[in-house]
Amino acid sequence: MDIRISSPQRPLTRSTCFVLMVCLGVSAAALSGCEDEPIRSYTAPKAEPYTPPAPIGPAVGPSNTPPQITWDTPESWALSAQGSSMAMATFEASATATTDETPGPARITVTPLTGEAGGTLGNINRWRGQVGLAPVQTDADQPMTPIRIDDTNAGVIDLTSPADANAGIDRMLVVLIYRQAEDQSWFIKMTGPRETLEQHKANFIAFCESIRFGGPADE
Amino acid sequence: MNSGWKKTLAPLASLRLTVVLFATAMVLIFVGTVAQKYEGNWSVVDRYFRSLWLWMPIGVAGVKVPFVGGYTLCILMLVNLLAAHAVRFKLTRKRAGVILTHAGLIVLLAGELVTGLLAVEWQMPIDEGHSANYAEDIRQVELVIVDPSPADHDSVITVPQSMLVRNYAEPRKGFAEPISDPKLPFDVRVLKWMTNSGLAGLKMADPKLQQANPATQGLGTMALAVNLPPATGVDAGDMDAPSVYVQLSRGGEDLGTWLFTLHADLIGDPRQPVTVGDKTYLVELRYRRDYKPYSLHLIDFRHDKFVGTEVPRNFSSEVRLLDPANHVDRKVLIYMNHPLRYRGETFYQSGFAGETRTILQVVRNPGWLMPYIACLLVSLGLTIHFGVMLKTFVGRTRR
Repeated sequence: MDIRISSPQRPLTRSTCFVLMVCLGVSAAALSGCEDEPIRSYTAPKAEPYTPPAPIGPAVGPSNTPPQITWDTPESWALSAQGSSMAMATFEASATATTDETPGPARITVTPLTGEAGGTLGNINRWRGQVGLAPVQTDADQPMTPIRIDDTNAGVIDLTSPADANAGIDRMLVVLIYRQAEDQSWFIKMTGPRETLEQHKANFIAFCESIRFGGPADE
Repeated sequence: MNSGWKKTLAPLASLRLTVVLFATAMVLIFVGTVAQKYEGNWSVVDRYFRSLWLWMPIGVAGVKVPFVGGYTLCILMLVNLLAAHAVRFKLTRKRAGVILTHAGLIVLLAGELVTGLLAVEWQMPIDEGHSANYAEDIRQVELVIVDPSPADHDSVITVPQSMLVRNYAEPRKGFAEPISDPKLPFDVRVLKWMTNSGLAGLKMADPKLQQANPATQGLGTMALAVNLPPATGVDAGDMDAPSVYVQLSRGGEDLGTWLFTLHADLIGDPRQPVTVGDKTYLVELRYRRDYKPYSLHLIDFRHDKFVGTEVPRNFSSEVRLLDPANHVDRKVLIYMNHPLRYRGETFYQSGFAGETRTILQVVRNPGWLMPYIACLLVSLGLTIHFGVMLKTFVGRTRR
């Protein structure tokens, strides 16, 4: 069997370093030149006239008029264009750093749907599934904190994902209101990291309690 | 090759260098993967893999250390491989497999350099019954100044995002010099750049924030842009929505402070009129556009589901390709795994919004064939090398 003894490694010579520097220098010059973008000018076909985007949220109610609602937005919440096309409004609330790591932002949505929209139990179990919790058998099995929104009694559901669940949502605060007069369901939901929701929980409750039905939609 | 060159290249051909480069690549890939939890995917690709060097966080109280970027590693691996061939490998039948395999690796590395530098990827959203003659790069925005005065076309001037960010990030003498160019009808000074932002209605904002609103003109007087953390690679579907406050001026005349934002259509018409002398320009912040000399008209978008379920079965876009200059007018069906290839670009069925809007992904990559050639060379090389080694082994055992 052949036994090969590796030859000793040759030390870097000046010419080797020169070759290496030239290779890296030429490459760096070529690559850095690719990153500078200039101001461009060109001609383009005439742009179409501006049309305002369609109102967010589905057409609801027999008269097909948009649902009327007002609220007071907490100062620390920012209106966001990112979000579900079903939502009437989407807000983002940033977290304050309490440790070395700043948690991600929370997202708050206000979504109207026609009718009972799946009913209370169906929605509770859907939300529980989203945070990795097992379903419940009846509405009464899900703890809720009572809240009064305009002239309607509702409940705040607080769901937190278990440590070992690989759920898409870490924590959720949600209020479901069904208004029989308009046959309209309203979902007010806040989702995000549990630390962020803890910081904004009071804002969420205040936001829900400020809701009034029947006025013009606020921004 | 003469002995002088061999002496020069020998250290660069070192196998120890190869091992060090592979270990460094593993560290870079690991840290770059973890970084996507905190930053957007494309931001990480540009910073970690398509760069010469970077400041790498080591996870301890914000400490960062300088580290080689993907391009430097790629170049060093290429130099190492080429030097090894020059110094050690002889062109013999026994070495043919190894040489072919290494040639495949060279093509693979070169292919990634070509793709990183030259490939472009855009989106083309089209509504049913409408046409599109441009694609958008949703990773970049540009400040667009349009002169709509010509009757048959718009004259467009664009300031790239990189220039806006640099103007905000590099103050000199206490403030940045404005962006100035003979093509621009006015100078642009960036007062604040926000990579990701939201809008707060001013009537609900803190009075202190209202007083701090820098905008004096346009949509910025109706809403305040607030900074948000950048979208990360784990925020499914979320994209950054930049905003920028700029001060416009011309020849010493202050044209006001304006807010240009991707959220502008939440407030009103995103194209804000800026008057300079007797001319009015329309200015907006939008995704970077690439206009085509041809157009696609969306005849029908289909989103088929399996019967009785909500499971998608098929997405397809029936489009009419119109290229008057080349006398092209034909119908094409674009659906999954059946893209349209035209004039060096490939149109894939990428996504949709609602029931009547299709989103096509437009890709131009001159190096698209290189990974396939590389795989072919490596496979052939390994097969030949295996065959040669097997023949040698069988010959020895027979003796």
